[in-house]
Amino acid sequence: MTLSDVEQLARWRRLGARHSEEVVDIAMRVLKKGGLGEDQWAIREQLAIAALDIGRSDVAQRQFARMAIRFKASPRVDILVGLQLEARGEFEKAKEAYSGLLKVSETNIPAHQRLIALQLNNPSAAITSLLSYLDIFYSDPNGWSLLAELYADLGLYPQSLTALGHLLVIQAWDSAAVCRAGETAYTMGDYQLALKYFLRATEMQTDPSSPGAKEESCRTRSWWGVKLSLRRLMSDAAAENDTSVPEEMATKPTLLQALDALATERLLAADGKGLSARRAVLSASQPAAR
Amino acid sequence: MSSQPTYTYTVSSAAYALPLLHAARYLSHTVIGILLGKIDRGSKRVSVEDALPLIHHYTSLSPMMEVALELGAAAASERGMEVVGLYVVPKDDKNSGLGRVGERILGEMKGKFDASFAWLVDNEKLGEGSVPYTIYTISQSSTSPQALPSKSSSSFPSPFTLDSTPNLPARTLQAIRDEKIHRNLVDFDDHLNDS
Repeated sequence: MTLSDVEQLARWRRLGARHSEEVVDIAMRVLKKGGLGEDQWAIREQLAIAALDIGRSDVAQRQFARMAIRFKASPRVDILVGLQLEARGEFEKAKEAYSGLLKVSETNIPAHQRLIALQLNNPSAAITSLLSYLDIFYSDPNGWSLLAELYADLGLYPQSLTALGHLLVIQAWDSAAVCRAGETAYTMGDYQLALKYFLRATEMQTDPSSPGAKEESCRTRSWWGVKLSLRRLMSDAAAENDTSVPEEMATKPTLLQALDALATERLLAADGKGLSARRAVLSASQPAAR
Repeated sequence: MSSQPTYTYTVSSAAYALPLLHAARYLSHTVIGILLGKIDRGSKRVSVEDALPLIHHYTSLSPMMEVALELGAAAASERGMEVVGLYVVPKDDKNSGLGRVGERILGEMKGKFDASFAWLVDNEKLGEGSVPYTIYTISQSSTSPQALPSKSSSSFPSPFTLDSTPNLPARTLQAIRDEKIHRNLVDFDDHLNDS
C-alpha cells in the first residue's frame, strides 16, 4: 500500500523513525504545495529535526523562524532551540538550555531525553542517567531499547537482556523485540533460551490464515535465529553449554531434530534472492545423523 | 613499528565505493560489511573486487552476523571469489579503533585467510574528500589489529593500491550527494526482512 507524502510523514512521526534524508525531501515538497492548515506545524517540526540531522541548518533555521512567530514561549519549540545548539556543536549551551527547561517543569520528557543523548559518547554515564530516567518514566519503550543497546555495546549482555525484558512487558506485541532478545541470549551463549525466544518470534510472525501470509513468509530473521540455535544445541560441544532454562523446560533432542527440519524448510520456502548460497549454508549446517 | 603483511592488494572502484554507499544509506547506524576478492597465493596478490553490505542493526549481537558471514562466503565462492576482509563504518567519531566487534571478526577471518584486513572509515576524512579508510591487519607476531601507516590522503596506504579511476573519492561523494545512488542499496539486514 503506497502512502501519500503526508501519510508517510505522519507514519514516521508516529514510529519515531529516523529517515532524515527522505523526510527533508518529502516535507519540503509537501509544504511547498501548501493547504495543510494547522497540520503544517508538526511537519515543520519534523522537517527541522531531520534537516539538523543531515546538516542542513539553513532549512532548519527557516522552520524555527516560522515556529517562533506562531508559538511564543513554547517548551516544545525550546527543545528545537536546544537541538540547534547541539547541531552547531555547542553542547554546554545545549545542556544549560535543557536543564533550564527542567527547572521550569520536571516532567519535560524531551529535555530529559536530550540530556541523556548528550552523554552518549560516555556510555557508562549515559546508562546511569538512563536508569534514573526509567525509574520515573518506566513505560518509555525507546528508553529501554536504548539501555539494551548501550549494555550490548559494552558487552554486558545479561543486563541488556534484562532491559529487553522490560521492553517486552511494555510492548508485548513487538515480535522484533522478541527476536532481538533471542539474539542477545544467543550472543551470551544461552542457546536454549535463545531458541525459545526465536521460536516465539516466528510464532508471532506466522499466521497462515491471514491475507498477508505470503509477505510474512519472506521474513527470515527469526528462522535463521532458530536454525543457528539448533545447530549449537545439536553440536558435539552442546553438553558444555550453560543455560538459564530449567531442565524440565529445555527443548529435548528429538524435538530439536524436528525443529531443524522445519527451520530449513521455512528458510528455503521464503524464496527470493541468494537461494543457492542459502542452500549451501543450510546443507553444510546439517548435523551428522546420530 | 607497524605490521607489514607480505601480500599486496589492488582495490577496485566498486570495493572502494560500496562501503561508503552503505554508510550513506544508514546514516545514523554503525554499518558492517565484507570485502570479496580473488587471492593469488603463489604471487601473494589479492584483488579486492567487491563489497557485500551486511548489517546495520544491533551490531553488537552475533547471530545474524554469523549467518551473514557464512552466506557471504558461499556467495563469494559462487562467483569464484573469497572473503578477504571486512569494513566498519562507526556511527560516531569515538576514535576508538576498530572496536570490539570488528576486532573479533577480523580475528576469525584471519583464521581462514592469513592476510585478511579490516577497513575503518574515518568520518572526518570522508568529509574532506580524502581516502577515508584506516586499514587494520594482524601481523604474525601479534593477536591485536594494528593500523597501517598512511602517507597520502588521496590513495590507500601501502601495500594497498586503488584502482586507476580518476578522482574516485570525489566522484563517490558526488554520486551520494547529487545522484543519491545509495538509496537503492539493500543490505543483509534488509534481506532478512524481505527476501
